[in-house]
Amino acid sequence: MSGWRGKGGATIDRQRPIAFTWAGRSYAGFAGDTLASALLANGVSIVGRSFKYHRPRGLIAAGLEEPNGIVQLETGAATIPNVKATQIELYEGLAARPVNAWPSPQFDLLAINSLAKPFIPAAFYYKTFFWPSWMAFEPTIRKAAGLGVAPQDHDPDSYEHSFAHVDTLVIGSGAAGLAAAEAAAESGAAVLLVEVDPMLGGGLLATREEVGGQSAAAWRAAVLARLAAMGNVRTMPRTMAFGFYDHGMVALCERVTDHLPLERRIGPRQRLWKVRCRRAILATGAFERPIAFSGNDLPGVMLASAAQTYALRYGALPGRRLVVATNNDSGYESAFAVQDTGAAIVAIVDSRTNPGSIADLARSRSIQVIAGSAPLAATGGRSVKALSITRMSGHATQERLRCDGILTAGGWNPAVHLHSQSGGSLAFDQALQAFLPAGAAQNTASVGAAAGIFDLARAIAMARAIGRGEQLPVAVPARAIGPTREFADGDIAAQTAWLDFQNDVTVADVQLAARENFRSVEHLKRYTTLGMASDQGKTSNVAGIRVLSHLLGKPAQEIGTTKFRPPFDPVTIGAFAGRAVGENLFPLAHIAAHADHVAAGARMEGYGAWLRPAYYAKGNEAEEAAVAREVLAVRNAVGLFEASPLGKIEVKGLDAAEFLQRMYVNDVRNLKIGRCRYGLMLNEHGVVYDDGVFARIAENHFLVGTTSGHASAIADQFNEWLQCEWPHLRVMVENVTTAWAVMNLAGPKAREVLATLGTDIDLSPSAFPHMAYREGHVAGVRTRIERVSFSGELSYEIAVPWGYGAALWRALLREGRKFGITPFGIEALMTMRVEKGFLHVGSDTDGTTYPQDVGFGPAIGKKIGDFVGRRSTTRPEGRRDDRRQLVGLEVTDGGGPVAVGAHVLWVNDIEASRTRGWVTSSVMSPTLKRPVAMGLVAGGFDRMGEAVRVWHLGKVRPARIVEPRFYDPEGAKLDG
Amino acid sequence: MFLIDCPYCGPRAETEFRCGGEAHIERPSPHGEVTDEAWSNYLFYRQNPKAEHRERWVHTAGCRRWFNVARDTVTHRIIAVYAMGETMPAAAGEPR
Amino acid sequence: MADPLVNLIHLDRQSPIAKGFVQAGATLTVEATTGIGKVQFLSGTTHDRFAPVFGVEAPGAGASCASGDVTISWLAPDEWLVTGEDVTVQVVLARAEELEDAALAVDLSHARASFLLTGEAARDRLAAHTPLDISDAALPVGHVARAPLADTTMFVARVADAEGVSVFRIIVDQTMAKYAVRMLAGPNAA
Repeated sequence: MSGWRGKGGATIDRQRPIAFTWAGRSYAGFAGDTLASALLANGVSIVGRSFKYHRPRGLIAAGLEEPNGIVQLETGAATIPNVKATQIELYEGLAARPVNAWPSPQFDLLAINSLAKPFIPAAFYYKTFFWPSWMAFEPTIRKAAGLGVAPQDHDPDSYEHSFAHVDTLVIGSGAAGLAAAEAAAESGAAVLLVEVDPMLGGGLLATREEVGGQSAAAWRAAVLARLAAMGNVRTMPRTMAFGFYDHGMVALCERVTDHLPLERRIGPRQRLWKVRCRRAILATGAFERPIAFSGNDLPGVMLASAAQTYALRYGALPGRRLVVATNNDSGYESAFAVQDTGAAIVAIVDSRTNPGSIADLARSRSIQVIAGSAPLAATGGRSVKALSITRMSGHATQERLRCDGILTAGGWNPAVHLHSQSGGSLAFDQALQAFLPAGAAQNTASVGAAAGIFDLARAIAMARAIGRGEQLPVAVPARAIGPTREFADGDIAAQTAWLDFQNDVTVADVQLAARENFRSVEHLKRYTTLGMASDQGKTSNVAGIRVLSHLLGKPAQEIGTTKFRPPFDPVTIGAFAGRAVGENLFPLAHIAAHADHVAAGARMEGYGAWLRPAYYAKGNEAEEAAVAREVLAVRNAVGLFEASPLGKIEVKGLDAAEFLQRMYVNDVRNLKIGRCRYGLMLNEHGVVYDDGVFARIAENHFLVGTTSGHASAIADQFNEWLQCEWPHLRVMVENVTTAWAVMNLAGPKAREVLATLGTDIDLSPSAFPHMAYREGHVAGVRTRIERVSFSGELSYEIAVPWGYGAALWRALLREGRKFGITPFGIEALMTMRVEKGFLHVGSDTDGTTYPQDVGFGPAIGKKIGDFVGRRSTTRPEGRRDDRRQLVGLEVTDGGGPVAVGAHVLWVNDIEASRTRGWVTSSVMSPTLKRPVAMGLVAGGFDRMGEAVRVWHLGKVRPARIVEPRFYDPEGAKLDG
Repeated sequence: MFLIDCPYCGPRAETEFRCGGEAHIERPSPHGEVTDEAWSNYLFYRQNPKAEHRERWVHTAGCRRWFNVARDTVTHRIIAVYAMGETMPAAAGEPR
Repeated sequence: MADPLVNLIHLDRQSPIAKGFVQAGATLTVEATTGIGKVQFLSGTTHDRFAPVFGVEAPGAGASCASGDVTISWLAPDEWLVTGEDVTVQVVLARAEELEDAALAVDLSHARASFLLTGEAARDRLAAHTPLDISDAALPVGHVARAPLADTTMFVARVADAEGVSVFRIIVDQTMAKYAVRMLAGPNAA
């Protein structure tokens, strides 16, 4: 027999039927059902097949601790693998199917694995499949194992984040959580109460216990009404607290639209909250323990409290004739609830010799109570048919009970995950045979079942006290649960006594691990994979620890638990990403004339954090042709380039020159006002970090130019040195990179174009020489202009306030048309700088390049004072005479450019010998119509003119070391 | 995610800051007289205590000021926050 | 050479740098012509220099004060943001410049984008993107902060309520203006 719909069901609405599809067949449920309760009520007993052995499995739980009911929800772009059926609120049109069974859960071809079981115990893969190589077996094994199918399309849903600050965060809305929240709110705290279930109330929703003379439902309704009336309480159902971090930071996942039919979902699907609380009250409840016995994974075996929840909330029952196996009183409450919903209880099998008055209550309900006994073996092919029981100390079958379901109540494990994540410690309670929260590391308190307090009245009273802020003693005596029947080491029944249902781990696997000396709890976990599935061992970890404890004769407290890590339960990756997807993952900055560049046919590329023109293609031009055309236009007439991203940092103060003297390799103090200088910055390791032009705009005021990628970092570093190392220096720093748009006019006609545009700055060569800085106005707006050149031509970098940048670009193109002005991009600029042999940090330098390697040795020699990185340049490594030095390279075979990264070898080197250096920059020069290159070559400065060989991917070419000054070596063009 | 009490802006989330590593490290000088060993210590060697650690932090998303923090590396409890250039407040530990 | 006073070409300013939005519960408007400037005093000298430059007494950390038609806001010790009527901002910056090497005054009008966010849902919208506590108690009217805004940084000021509804001034770097608008507009905005 299998599940069916009995009487009652407080959560469902029998007036609102819902149609859904499971494994391709149509079914009906009710509003308020979960997919699990609806499947159970419809008699679906096999919900899937287990991970390793493909054994048929049914639901064992009603909540998020469920290990078996893993389903594939929906299809196509909306599909989600491995969602727990117990966590899916049933909605109209829902479609789901099992994850690990083909063609169906009823008949699964891979159940053949089950026959191989004796040969594939835990950790078998560490000992097999070695020859010829693991990789030969891996694809087949991977296909056979695994659960669910990953979606192939982009996630169509959107997700949001949010932040909240509260005084008291209450996690869990059972009786203890509600009582604590109310008391905290009454004392004036701003309270946030979160609950993973769609309804507040926790265990109150599935109990017939009375609270203070009222029914649980009435008590609950009254508290909720009072909470709703208070302005300082916010409640959030469908919200799971999944991580407890430092200093009261708790992360929540709010499910916003998962419960709605697909077509009615609007807005973000889920919201991830980061809540900073002054105090957290953990009312997270407890998970019931299954009882391990041979065949305990048959469909029809279920946790007793789960059956109680299915019965009272959903009117669903797992069978018609049920046996309850228990070691404590809560199994009886479950039996009574299930009986009242319509099932027959064949017997209650209690491991205690003297169960007490509760047994009399059972008998008064015509339920047989068999004391001092425990389950031995369940039988049935695809579902339970019978249960053999035995005396606690025996092995023989005492009685065989015919039944179609077995409810197990093995005691309760407080949900201590968040307490542990917060740094709190645990103590193993012998009476409850469970780990309880002991010391708190942060301002947290556990209440109710989460603290091991199961008496409702006492839990509420304590929770109220804690809500008010009272400190209470931790230890609370609890009534001891009954014994658990242990397996002897090597007992064959242990091979089919399941602990971890999702990962297919048995008691025998734990015994095997202990036998092979994997005796620490962390080794046990990884060797057997116990507790590593998506349920993270909520129904198996403590049982495994107890088995190990019994085997080793070591107290459970000493064995301890594995480390608890967030998330408490799976959270979809989209929720963590939030809005940081698509163009918002790494938003690129636009330069001032962005729209104009695009309209002019620019091929835009990301250069660091900026979107910039690589080149401007005319018609069908390929990149190489476009770049060559741009280079020739600049060299022969004039070109226009937007240089806005280059860093600009203002440094001002009486000690500004002294400060920059310590930041640069070069001398700064002797720079005249109105002049610019090309400088090198090192990091403290002596490595070339940045290069750029700095200008002295007044006696104590400098404009520092940096590479675009380092603008913010260098401004930050300036502040770090000034605040931490030299606080007595009187200097102020401001990063103004995005305040000024910069257009670079370069070429023999540059001056004429600028003059035509109109400026109050004297542009004559004597008044405005190369490497000078001038301020004034251009086309009516204020400007700062520097004559600096990376191209090697007459060049003006014209800065105007950013908002005028696009207009300036357009005006320059317009005025320049008669001079043949051409827009040029990064690739053309890079080509021209290689033609000039100009350094590009990051291309011609790496993480080991010192300033003396790129020709700054003499500059350092002349500099007297200290600067960042100076001491590092003279460490033994820096004084070697075979250091790689930046030189020019020319191929001598008349062929094309060498590859960047190609290795340089001496003429006498045998081929696969040690590298002598490598090519760092290489282009086909459109200007010189031949290849030119630069490279870092050992002792290169003393090898000018020497023939070398360049090796790349097995091919060798002849070349020569030359000065890296290919075009206009005297720099005549710059001084024009 | 720590909550750090910036001396200028008040308590803020850790993601607003950057940690600059161990605090109170002296930069050896004059550069012409510093031994390789002393310079190497300055560049590479750091304390790694399983206890109170004094470290520098900068409030990058806020006031952009550097300051010092004494923090327990095991519990992450922040023991003291004090200005750059100052020594650890005496009440919370022996002064440096 | 052409007479520089005769501007044959007049450059237009590209503005606004991003467009705002109007949604149920939240409105974002661009302050396209507002002046924004920053004044830094040498470390520890604010108390002597503030009043001569700004004409009012310095507010405390995290606060702002009005001076005519501009607002002076605390950014850090000795760092002040000046916002408001563009012409007046320029005048204030010029006064700071007179202190020569004792102050660094920078015009950020082109470097930043300024917005006003208001509406019943404004606080929730902003809270979605910043760990800063922006509750009424933590950020009352007149108070300011620099803090993260999604993956960028913002300056936020709680300005006077409009008809009982909170109003926030949010200033970000101009290169992040469109990104900031996309974030504040929510995940499903057009």
